[in-house]
Amino acid sequence: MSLLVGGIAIGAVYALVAISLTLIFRATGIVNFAQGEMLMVGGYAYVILAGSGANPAVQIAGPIAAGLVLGLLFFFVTRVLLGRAAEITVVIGTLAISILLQAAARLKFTDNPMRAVPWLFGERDIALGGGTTVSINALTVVLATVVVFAALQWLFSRTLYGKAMRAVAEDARRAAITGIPVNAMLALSWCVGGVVTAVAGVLLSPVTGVFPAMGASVLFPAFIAAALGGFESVVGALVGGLGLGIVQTYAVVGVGGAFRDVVTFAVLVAVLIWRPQGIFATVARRTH
Amino acid sequence: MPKFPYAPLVYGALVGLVAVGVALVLPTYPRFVFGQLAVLVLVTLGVNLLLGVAGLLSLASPAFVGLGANLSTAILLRAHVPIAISIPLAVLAGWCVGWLLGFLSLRLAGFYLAMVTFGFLNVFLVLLNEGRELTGGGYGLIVPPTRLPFLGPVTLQTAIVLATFTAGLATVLVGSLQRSRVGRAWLAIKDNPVAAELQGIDVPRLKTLAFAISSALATLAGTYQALLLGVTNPSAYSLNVSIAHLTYVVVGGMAPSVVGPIVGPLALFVVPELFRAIGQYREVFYGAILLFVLIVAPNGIAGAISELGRRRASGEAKQ
Repeated sequence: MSLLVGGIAIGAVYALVAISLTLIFRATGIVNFAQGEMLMVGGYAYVILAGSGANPAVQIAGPIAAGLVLGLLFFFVTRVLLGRAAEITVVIGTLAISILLQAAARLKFTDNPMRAVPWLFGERDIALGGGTTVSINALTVVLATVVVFAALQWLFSRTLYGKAMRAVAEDARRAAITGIPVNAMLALSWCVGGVVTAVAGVLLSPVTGVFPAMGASVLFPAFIAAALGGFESVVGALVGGLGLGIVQTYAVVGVGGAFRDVVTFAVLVAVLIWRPQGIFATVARRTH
Repeated sequence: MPKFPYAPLVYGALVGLVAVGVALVLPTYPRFVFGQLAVLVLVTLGVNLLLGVAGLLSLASPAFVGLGANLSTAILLRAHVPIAISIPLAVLAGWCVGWLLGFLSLRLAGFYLAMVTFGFLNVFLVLLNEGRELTGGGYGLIVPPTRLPFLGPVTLQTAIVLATFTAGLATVLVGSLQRSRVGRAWLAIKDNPVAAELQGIDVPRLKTLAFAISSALATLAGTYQALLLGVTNPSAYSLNVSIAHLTYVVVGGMAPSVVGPIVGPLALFVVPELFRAIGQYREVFYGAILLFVLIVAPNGIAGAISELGRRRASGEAKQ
């Protein structure tokens, strides 16, 4: 039972990053290889604020602000500086940002993980019926994911800004004709992605500690979760992330922790051979 | 049936000999750096063949360098054969694995391909760290003393001579491959895969071929790297190394050229290495250079210079 909850918790982190990747890809057509570094920055923002004893609201507001700023930065680099470059060039650009942020973190904080305590509730286990216990952090992660997912659904289906972002993602030119400020909506999409990923960083920090490569290790599973949704479906990314977390957790028990990445890769190859457009995709994958 | 390329082989051998000559007149430390440059040129030629010529973004290049270093060393340790056998065996394996990876990725392009090759690199690193005695786990392997027929024991000197000669030869061969029918077909695929297919180009076969050749070059470079350094280092094949390889290619200009793959490592590896200038800032340096070149000079340094020349020439023509 606690194994299952643990799997769901790590899967929820994958799901949040996968959702961000999907939102950004849908809006901008860019797959961000530096998404893991957004998570890492969120983690550092949280661990530093928590270490300085700020109140819980500030502890969570700090990483969110960091996600916003990073979203704007990525918008600036990919849209303003690399706006007219080919797809492959932009992908290499995000790789460059990834190595830059990671190396900067390494210079500032070294490779030693910084320990973080779970947000709000601390490190406690609670008993479920039947003698099993679950760490309260795992439950917090799941709950936070549900809240974020619900908020995103509300944002994209009920609010004007969410609908405008969807319109831009659908067809930027026609959205521009109807008077939607395309660049502002793209920047907003980057920011939403940045904030969701930074929150994932806060949730992951107590589990793995905060270190420069913490995001890089989440990136690949998140890619696969996003690919399960064909980089198109947010629900697909959520289900994909959770499913991958559970599969990985049981695989670690079955074949040993080191081979986790091998299992993940096998899942990716299976998905790409079976349904390259993604399992939950409603629209055909863009052909390049 | 294409004619066997005697002329490039002869030119290539000449260029290789010149490279060896340069290596031999250098003092000890620069000579060692020159050997490492030769290894990087081999890798970069391969990466540029995929990215600059065929338009395929792969992040798996360090996996093949690692494959070459580990496999050739493992063969040396177990079979006690000379490197004249272990290196070709490793390169053959690299060719086959590269072909397989290319085959797996046939339906993918752009970022999907980058993802799959990134996953492949992850899997390789796991196998490398879990390979126990076969790979030396987290410690790597120590290259045993070996001999070459006619040349005697393989010293650092021999390794440098081999690497520089091969790099010179490979530069000319890859250059002539890029100008051949195959090279032009790759360019057509990079430009527009559908149009290339309609012209009768066998796109899947050429894509897998590009992967196979590129991987074989990286594997070959890996076998020399092990000889040069005397050890295999399991932590030297991470994603950061892929990004360094991409930086060499981007700085050299993602185009069918053999000057680019030499200029890239020369400017970004040799110059900092000789001045010992960057040390712990290496990754920041590569990331910053990569981003800067992508933004300011997307055609690389060589491209930027030739564009500048063209602008000046057209400016003079107007006057």
